Amino acid sequence: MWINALRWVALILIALAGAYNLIGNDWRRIGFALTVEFGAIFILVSFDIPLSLALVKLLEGWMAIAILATSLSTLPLVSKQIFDYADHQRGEDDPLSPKLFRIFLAALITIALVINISFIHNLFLMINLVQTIAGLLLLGLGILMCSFRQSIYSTAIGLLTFMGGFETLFTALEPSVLLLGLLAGVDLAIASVCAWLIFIQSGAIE
Amino acid sequence: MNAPMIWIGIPAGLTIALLGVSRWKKLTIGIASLTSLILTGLGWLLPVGKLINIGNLTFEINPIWTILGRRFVLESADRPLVIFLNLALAFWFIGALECDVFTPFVPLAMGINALLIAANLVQPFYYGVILILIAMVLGVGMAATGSHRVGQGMIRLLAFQTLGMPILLLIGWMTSSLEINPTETAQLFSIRLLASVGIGLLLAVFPFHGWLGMISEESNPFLLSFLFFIIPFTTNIFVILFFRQSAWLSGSLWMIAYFRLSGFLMTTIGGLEAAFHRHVGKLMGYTIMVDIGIIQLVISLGFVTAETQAFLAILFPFFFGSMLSLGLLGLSSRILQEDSNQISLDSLAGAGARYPFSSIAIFVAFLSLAGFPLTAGFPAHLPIWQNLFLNFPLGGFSALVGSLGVLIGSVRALSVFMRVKTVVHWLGSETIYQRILLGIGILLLLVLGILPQLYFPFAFNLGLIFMGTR
Repeated sequence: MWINALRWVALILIALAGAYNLIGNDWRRIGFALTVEFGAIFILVSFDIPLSLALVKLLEGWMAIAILATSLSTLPLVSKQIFDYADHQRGEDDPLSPKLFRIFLAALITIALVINISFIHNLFLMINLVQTIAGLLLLGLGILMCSFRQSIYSTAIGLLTFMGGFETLFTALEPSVLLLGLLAGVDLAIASVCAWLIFIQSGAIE
Repeated sequence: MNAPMIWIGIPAGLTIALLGVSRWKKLTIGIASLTSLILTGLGWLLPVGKLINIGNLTFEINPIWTILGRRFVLESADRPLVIFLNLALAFWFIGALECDVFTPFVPLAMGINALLIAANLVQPFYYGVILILIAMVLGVGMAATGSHRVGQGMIRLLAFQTLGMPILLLIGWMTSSLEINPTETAQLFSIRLLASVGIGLLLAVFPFHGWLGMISEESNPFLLSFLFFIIPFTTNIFVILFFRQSAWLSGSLWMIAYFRLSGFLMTTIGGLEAAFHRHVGKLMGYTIMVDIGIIQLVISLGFVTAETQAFLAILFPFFFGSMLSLGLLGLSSRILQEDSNQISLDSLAGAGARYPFSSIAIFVAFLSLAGFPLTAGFPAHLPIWQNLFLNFPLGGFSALVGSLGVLIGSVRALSVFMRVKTVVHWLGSETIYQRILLGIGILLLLVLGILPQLYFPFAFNLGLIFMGTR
């Protein structure tokens, strides 16, 4: 009973953090929301794999965020335009309509997910229903994050969210240590390369 | 000692060591080239899984390396893959000696190579897609560092590859579970649909091909030529191995139709875009599109013909020709880029007078990539065209359109290079070493085109050995 309740809590955390990452503009808060997402992923996967391995997953996710955050915080140009849409001016008020549009699309994804969940769940009967919803929601939100904003930081956040969703599902299907290690390697590689790309783009390398 | 440790572990370890000494360019390149050549030689000479007697010493190279409960298996039949990839590495490293390229390229390329070899050897086979993704992510970092800027093509490459990896991993798992429980036929449709999207993302097939042209305009052409050789080579080999793991997937009419359609679209679109290009780098990207399309068509035919091994083995001489052409193209384009800082056609007017060797090298390399007679690309293109016209005429026609587009593009580029008003010096501005390297490259492409018996049987036999067992 309490296990299922925990899963629901994780799902709600993922939905809230994912929604914030779609509309938020502060890179620190976006990083924090992703930290919360990885915490929720930890809760979900800890029922499928040993706690020590789930902890590795959590730490690896947080390390990826730390790599990105360290890179951004050391740059002279840490402003909105690093991660928001290209023509956004510093200090300009954020228009409401793009945020509403993003939330609307996220809601559409959620509705499509709820409608089709029985079909999808039939393909992966080994995974808990709530965990399936959480994993698929992360996949959908990750793709939305990658597609709405062109900046490297938002792409990195989107890709890490997408990978988090996939790991939530796949760890239940195949709890292999090597696989977990390789997926952790992918997350860290994405974070490191994106941090390096942000560094190059800022002009600091010149 | 085991075989994966020799061809994966040693280069991976050397990657870290060479990063430490990368401030000394010649030393780094010297060690890396020598190691790659030694690994090529070992791949040729060292039998795997058999007793070796050297004097009183008797030992055996074990084909299996176990890490965290999973195995990397490199058997004797896999040696053509390591021979090919290490030879390509040495080829690019020697070119890097006389080219303005950042030195960490060398260890990074070695690491990428080790990861891509590991991707094709890991068991279960579908874990390989994760290693391919890590290699691609490193490749993006390498391309951005080499050009000192980040373009949308690089971000798109990163995003598409990351989105494609989980899909392929999932269908790998689904096909494995389906073999255990074949009654789960409800999953077949999902697997085919997912496979089409996943392979499209991995191989940059239409409509996920946009980054090929974009990244070509943004990056250092020498680094890009390396990535454009090694990525299509290993990912296509991986896809072939992936499909051959399950007979019902490789024999599926859906997948064959998918490969034919994607091959047709890639060759046609790539050829048309190549014909109307305005940038030498972009022409390279569109040429790779045509090449990927041709490979898709070959795979589609390879899975329906009775002689699958022989048909798929033709890819090895095809890639050998591509390797030589792309290496030469990357070096010569980089030499031109060093002069005018860009390689758009507008900025290269009259480049033929200042850089005659580079200009001719670019032209000959594109001819070879298009499969023009008397160049190294022709002997592999000819049997592919013949078989396509026999079995899938529309595909044969599209492959010809693709090659014709590349040919028109290369002639347009040459005409711009030759827009010369005054000739300063007939030998141009290249250094002696650059002239020697470019001269050898041009000669090699022409000699191998005139005398294909020098490389074709060797490369084809390597392909036969590899495809025959895997």
